[in-house]
Amino acid sequence: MECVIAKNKIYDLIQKSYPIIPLKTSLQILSNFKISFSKSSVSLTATDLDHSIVVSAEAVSDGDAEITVNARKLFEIVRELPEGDIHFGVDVNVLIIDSKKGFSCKLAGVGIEDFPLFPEINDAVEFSVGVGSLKDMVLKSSFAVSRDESRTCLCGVLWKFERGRTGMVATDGHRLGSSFWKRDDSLEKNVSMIIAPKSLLHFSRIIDGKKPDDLINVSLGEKYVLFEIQDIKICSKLIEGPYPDYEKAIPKVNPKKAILEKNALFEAVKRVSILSNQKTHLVKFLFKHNMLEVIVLNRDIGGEAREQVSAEYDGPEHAVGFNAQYLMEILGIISTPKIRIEMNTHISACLIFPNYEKEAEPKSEDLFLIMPLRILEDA
Amino acid sequence: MKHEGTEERVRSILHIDMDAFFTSIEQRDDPRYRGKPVVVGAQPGHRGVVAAASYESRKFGIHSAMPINEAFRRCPHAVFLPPRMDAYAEESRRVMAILSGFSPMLEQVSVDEAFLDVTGTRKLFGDTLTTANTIRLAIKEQIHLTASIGIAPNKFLAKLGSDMNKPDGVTVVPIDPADSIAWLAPHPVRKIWGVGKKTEETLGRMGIVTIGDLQKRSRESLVGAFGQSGLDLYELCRGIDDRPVENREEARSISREHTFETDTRDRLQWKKTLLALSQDVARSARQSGVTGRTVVLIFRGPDFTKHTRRSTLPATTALANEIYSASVNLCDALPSNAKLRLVGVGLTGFDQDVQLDLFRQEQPQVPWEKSERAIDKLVDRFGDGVIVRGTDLTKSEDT
Repeated sequence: MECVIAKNKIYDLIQKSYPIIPLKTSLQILSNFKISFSKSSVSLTATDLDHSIVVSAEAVSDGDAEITVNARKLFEIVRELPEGDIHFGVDVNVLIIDSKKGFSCKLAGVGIEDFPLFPEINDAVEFSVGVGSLKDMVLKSSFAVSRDESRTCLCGVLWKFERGRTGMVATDGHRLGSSFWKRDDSLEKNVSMIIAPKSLLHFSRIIDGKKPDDLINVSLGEKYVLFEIQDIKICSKLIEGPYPDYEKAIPKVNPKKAILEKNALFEAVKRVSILSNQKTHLVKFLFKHNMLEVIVLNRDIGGEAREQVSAEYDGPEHAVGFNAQYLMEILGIISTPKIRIEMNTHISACLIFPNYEKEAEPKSEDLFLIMPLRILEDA
Repeated sequence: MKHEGTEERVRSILHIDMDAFFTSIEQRDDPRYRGKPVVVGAQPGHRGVVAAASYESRKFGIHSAMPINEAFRRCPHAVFLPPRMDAYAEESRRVMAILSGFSPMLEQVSVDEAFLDVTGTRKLFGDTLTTANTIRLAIKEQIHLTASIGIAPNKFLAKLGSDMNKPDGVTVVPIDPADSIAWLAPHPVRKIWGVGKKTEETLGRMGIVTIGDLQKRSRESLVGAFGQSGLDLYELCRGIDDRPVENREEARSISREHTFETDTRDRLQWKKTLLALSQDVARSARQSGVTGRTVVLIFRGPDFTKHTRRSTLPATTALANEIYSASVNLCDALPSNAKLRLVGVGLTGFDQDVQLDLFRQEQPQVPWEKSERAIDKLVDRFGDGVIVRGTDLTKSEDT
């Protein structure tokens, strides 16, 4: 069997699937790609058992063949080859790579018998969602995923399908990000799933080249969810729920409201927080009439920094502490020039929204939340 | 609540000191540097100093804090590397993770050294020497670096011990007080904690060069020359050091003590004193914006030795009421014939600027907190004594 494919095509497939290969594994075969050659295409499969990917491209072969080879070695060899066609051949457990420009190599492989099967999804609930909206929802939620493995559910992104809308939410208890998009097709009942950020983020990254309106097919099974778009298939093991009732935890009464220039606030927090405590990154927000003062008092290094930022605020004077990094992360994600902050007490959740002009019709409904750092002296 | 005493037993303290930590990491990560003089720090030709020197480079007289150009003059063929603090911090974290597997009482002193109290781990890991060797082996196998360990009944002696047998060695400091005094005698006074250049000079002028010289001086003469720290010198040169191994979060504490005019068995008097001290401690904690989880009862008997008892609360506090009742519980556990010269109360295990959690909602303020904050305000305005808690006014009764 011989297959001819352009270097950039096969290299693209490798780049898209390589991040799924586990860095460390006790199961040697997971360090391998499965390569499948057929008459008109070649496809690459990678899996770490929880996440699996298949990507394919057009290629010309004179027969069918399958083999698994070490992913890292294949990646490095193809990367170093000059542009142009590459000729692949499969012998008994050997992959032959020939540039026809002088380079050739044999890469010992393993038969496909031991390579895990791509998960099959039975009785799936099917949806479709646009590339643009999926990428946006992933961006606005996944940053807040918890790294604390003792709270398993919070280590994933909650994806909800409700009547007329779909959205993603993630929170580690300290901050929360969520984005909901309008949706046409009707569902009989609400559906939700918890997905590990590894596959969501990776999928979101490799569909960069697709048009925003291209549709992704989503098949939700009992244990796995499958994303399919054109030549890419990613399957992810679901995290078992239930997801905590975050909606109940979001305060409904937030009488103190402020509107601020996002960039001015971001810059001020960035500058002032240089002197903040390295562990808590505490910055204090002091809201006064039409003004916000961002303050850091660091007893450990004996430092102090302040910056005033103009704000639309007419509530009572209000002081609240935040982790500067959490705040900057949220500000970095919001795309509108202005933001709206809604607060109640110095120990209740603080909500942050993009602030749209009156006539604007936002594509999505976004909500960010940050829990304060309790500053005892202000209690 | 759990109660612990810190005296009446011989402690087993380890001081674990990584050998030439930064340069050993560089030599481990790049085989080309092995067996060669390696210096981590500023680049030669620039201002700056040596941050760490490998054992090979120390033969040329290079040591940390030496100007980098001086190091270059002494050994131009050494490998000069810029520090990779992130890598060192990561290795440090791994070392500390190994140590914390042997005992929860771990006090990290710096990036490459720590104290470990293994008094209670004999059943788990064998005797102290075996434990120390197990730790060295674990560090060697898992991180491929070497450490030197000092074993002693206290922190001061353990730290001295780890320096005796470097690199990759273990030193057991004699446990018997007479033996450890003899063991200490030949060392220079500089080895004593808190003796810096200045104290060393002053001692030198008094004809005191070795710890043995210091041991010959009376308590009075040292207190006369150095005040309170003379007392520390008197104790340390005899290898007496009762500082506990403390987790770093606990390293800071707020405490207040009171010395009675005469030694007393009057428990009501102790408690009245504790109440006043607790109010002081709580007020000071609130002013610094911290809350503490551990209440420490400090007391000194007629024999001047200082003892502590600690009690861990279910939640952090900065309230006099809670500190007081914990200290009274600790007091009640003292033997009935105890006679005290001094009593004190401390708050430690601080929790500062707590990150709140969406799913763990805050407790509403307890009524005491409000009233204590109101007292703070009154005292701020009108001065101490303007408002006194009812129990403060109770007359002392002899028991």
